Amino acid sequence: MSELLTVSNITKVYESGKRKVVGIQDISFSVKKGEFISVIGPSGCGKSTLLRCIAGFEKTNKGSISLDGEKVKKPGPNRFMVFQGLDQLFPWLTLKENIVFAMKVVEKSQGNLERKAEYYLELVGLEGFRDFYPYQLSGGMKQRASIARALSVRPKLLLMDEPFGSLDAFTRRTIHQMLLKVWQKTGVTIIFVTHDMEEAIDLSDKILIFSKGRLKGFIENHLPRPRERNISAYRSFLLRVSNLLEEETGSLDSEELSAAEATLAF
Amino acid sequence: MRDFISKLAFLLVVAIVWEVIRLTGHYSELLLPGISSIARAFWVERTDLLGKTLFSLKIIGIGLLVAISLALLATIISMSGKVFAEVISNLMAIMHPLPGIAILPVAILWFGIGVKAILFVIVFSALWPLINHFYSGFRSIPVNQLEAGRNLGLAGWELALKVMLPASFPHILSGLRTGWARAWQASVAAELVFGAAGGQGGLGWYLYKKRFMMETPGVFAGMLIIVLIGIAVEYLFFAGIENRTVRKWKTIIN
Repeated sequence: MSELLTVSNITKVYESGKRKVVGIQDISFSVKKGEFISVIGPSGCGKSTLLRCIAGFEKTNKGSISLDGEKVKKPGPNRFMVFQGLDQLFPWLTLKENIVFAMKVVEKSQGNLERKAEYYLELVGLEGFRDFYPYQLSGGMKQRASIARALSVRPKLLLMDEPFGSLDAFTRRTIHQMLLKVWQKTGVTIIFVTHDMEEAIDLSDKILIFSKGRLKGFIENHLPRPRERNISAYRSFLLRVSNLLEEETGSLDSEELSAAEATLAF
Repeated sequence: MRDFISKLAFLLVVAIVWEVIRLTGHYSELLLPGISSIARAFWVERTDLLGKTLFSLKIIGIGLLVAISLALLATIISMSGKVFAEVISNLMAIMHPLPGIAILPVAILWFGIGVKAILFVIVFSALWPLINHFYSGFRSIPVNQLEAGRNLGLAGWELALKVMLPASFPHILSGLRTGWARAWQASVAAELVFGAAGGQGGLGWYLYKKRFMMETPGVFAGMLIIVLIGIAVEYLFFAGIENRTVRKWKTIIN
């Protein structure tokens, strides 16, 4: 399998007045086609910044990002982002219209977009809700619809920035199942940012560990799918990840400090 | 529609109370004319009233179009840089508290007595609240929606038209409401102060004439028209737009 995404030596510094706050520093890694990668770390560690740089929302100060050999310079539909916020769908469009709108902008053609939109809604289990407006949906349904919209523009890379962070644990479990099914069916490559270790382990093949703006290492996840939480292999793997995170993030004080700095930077 | 009917019912109650007070005979017919004489004035003056109404609506329409264009321009300018935003917000801080009618003396000095001066007052009155609403509308667009638009590859005008405009529509709509009300007030007030030049004028001028001639029923007939137009525009125009847009999307503000 070939490298889909190559991130080499990128650094992002935020300037707020005279203060400079490092968002991420000297990050390099690569992602193969079809992989499901998690990026994990405490709040303010730079994991969201990394995702925003890959999406093209932020310009890096140093280094380069390339997707399929092409340099990333600005946002584009070949890397589509699903955000944490429940307000990312356009409230003036129904679910189907949201997806048709996205496809229309990207494909610049009419085609049979209605049918395609229905296909993607079905994929995420929302076939009965095509004519609903976003306000009529629960948080979980909104996030499903956002995933459907993202997939509808056929991105090479699906970027997910704590997409289920606002959902309750129960909803999250069922939406995880859906996401895995969709990932297997479409073969899309996913980078998934989270601060929830179990979420990262349940979902991904590879876990990048972030702390204070730096990539501290990555762990391959060879646990068999579907991932069962009650087997001992799962628990020892979880322990390994959590030890590594603790080692790297250090005491709570400095963690809070870097989180505060990151908030200041925005 | 229910609301519209309840407003009409309320007007009916006011009319009945009015008649009862008049029938006590305490007040002169010159100060408090009967409903029937107001209705008669309405009928006798129908052509004149219609002409004046159309004139008012035309001039308010033109003024509003100019004000909306200027407000959009100002909003775009203030969105395009910190310095511009500051200039416009300072300008707003100075101009917004100034009642539109207070600019009339200057308008008369600059443009003379006539349509131009009235237009100037209308534009001035509507402009600041429009800018205020448009600007806060654009500022209140959720970042996620903007970035979803950018992620699709939208930028510049396309982003503004396809994402920013509908996303800020609740604010734009309430800006239009305020702008319309201000323009209406300004046009009547300006004509009441100096009348009209060259025989041209709107409802304000009509009220001015009728008061001058002591034709009280005509004064009330003119006021009634103003009230009816206000109700019609609110309930047939704005409420219609609201029901088809922000109410349907549940993005209504207030």
